[in-house]
Amino acid sequence: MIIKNAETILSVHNLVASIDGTQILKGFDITVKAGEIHAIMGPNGSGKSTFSKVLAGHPSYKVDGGTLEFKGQSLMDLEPDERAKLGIFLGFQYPVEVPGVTNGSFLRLAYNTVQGARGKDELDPLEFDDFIQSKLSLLGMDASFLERSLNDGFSGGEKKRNEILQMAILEPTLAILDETDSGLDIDALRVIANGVNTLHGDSDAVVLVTHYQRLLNYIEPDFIHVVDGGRVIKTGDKSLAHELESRGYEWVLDENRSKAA
Amino acid sequence: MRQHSVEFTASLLKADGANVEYSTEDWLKSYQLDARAHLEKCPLPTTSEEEWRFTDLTGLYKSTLTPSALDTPIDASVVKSFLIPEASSAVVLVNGVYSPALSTLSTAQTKIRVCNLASALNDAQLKVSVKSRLNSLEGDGVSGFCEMNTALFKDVVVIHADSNGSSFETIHVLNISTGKHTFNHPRLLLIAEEQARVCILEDYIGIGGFGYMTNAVSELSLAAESQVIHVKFQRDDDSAYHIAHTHVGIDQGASYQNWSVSVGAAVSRHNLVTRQREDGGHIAIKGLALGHDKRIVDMHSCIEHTKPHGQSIQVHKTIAGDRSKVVFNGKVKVHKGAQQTNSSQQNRNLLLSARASVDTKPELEIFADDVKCAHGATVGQVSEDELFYLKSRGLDDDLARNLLNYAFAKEVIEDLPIKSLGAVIESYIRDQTKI
Repeated sequence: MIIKNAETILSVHNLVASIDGTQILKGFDITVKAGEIHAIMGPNGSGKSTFSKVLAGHPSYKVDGGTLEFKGQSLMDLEPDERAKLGIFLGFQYPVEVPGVTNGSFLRLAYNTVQGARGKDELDPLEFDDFIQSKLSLLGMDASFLERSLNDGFSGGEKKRNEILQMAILEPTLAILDETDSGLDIDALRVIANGVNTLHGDSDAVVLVTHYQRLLNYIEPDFIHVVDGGRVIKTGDKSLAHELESRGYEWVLDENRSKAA
Repeated sequence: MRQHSVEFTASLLKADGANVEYSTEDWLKSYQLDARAHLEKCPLPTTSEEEWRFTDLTGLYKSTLTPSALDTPIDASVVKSFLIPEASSAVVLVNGVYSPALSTLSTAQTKIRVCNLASALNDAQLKVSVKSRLNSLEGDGVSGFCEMNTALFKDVVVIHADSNGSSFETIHVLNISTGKHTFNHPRLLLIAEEQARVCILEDYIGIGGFGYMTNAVSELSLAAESQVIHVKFQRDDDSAYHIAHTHVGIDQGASYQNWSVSVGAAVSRHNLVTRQREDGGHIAIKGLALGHDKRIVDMHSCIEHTKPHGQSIQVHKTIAGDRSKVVFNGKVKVHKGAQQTNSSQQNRNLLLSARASVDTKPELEIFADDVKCAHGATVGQVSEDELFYLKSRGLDDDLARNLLNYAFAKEVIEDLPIKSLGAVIESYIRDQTKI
């Protein structure tokens, strides 16, 4: 929802970033305000996933220029865990499997670390069990999920639910969901979309990174950004998604090329 | 180097020679004398032997050890703190000698009998079993340390699991070393009759001991269709030398499950030999070794499939931190005619420090043509992607690394049937893998 005079959560200007000496982001711009949902779309290799990783602080990417600010504070020198404590959450396209760590104890550790840094009381295992029940049911997850090893042997859909469960307990101000819809069947997609819609409010913002328009039928974005060649080349409202769905990306890319020429 | 070994070997034989009491049993006496004679010709191994290349025992060979005292007073409440609630019987050995006062043996009439050598020899039937199985070490994995144990052991723990056992009874064999610069030679003999079931925990600790050497030999004989769970937990004092040889014989359709966990001693070496002697049979071995400080921890395993239809699965994980040195040598031998053997071996090593080292050597010797044998070994560090994932959830670098190290190790003991022991091992993992 677009709110007048809302606080700016994320401000990215002319961001340039590279991996192993190859420049991927080449002047990326985006501004996200409280209450808004943004979708970043684009063809494969356009740089949209890279943007989400740079935002969360992946160590393999090097920022070569531009600004990256969260609520007016530069993120450049912050570690991923410091960004998480500030309220940035990245939902992974491929959540990592960690055999040997139970999901429940990991979630509690993450909760206590992040929420503790924000001044909330730490929860013991019993208190955490109570706390997490409603979050589990929001995502149609069984309590047995907590007993399993973190993402270990989870199906694609289970992993994505687990990501949104983490978002639910960490209560981020800015959630970037990277290809959260990939590999989901329609029922799982509905559950996850419903979860995100329920968690999203006036004081936080969501950025969806997606290749397809499908997810946007369930989570309605306020803005759509088309990315190509490491830059946002077109921004529009949700009607742009439908146009992309029916006409593909090529016309936007063409439009951009002719503009450049 | 060899000179140190020669002198050390001689000093041990001599030190114990004065008070050795040879058994009245002629066969036993001849075992001990033969072992002694053999050692006089072939001393304990050094790094110049291929099998001991990575296990540097110079420190041990240069030290002067004396026999353990046989009547060391020991606080029963301290011993109790090491016992596990799952065990129906706890056999406690102090410096290799059975301690009736500290042991608690089940009085229930069950299929399992636990006793020391003297009692076993007093039972005519059990004596026959013991006589035919004790000192049946042969082939790969046998070393001078086996001979040393045979020459000098003071007692033998005998566990006899009768046929057709209905449930897994757990027996805790707790070996305590108390001496400063002493040696002891614990010996264990497990006899599982047809369709017997038993779970044993072979546990090594030091209470007040320092710089001692434990030289253990365990022999396990599994008759047809028997099922044995064997957990070896080495948590000796950080200054100790722990040498162990485990030899397992597996008959038709029997199942042997082993967990070997090594978290103690300055230098430890475990030779684990499992031999499938008849058709079928299932061997599962899970190993965990933690290299900490300047520790050397070495596991040499050998799985021998001598007959068809055998199955074996092995997972060995190690963590090498500080300036430790971790060794894994995993041999799988499939003899001629052992068709349709199905074997897999996996060795994963995690390096925590630039000064730690890992030597891994999977060795497959296959002389049959219709077999499935898989193996793999990796040496690596914590993956950047795993680390980033945990950090993106708010865990700082140290906490994330600690969690990943812990998880890597914990996977090995996740399905350990002795739950209380799992918790004990976890606390060692936490302590010894911390950044």
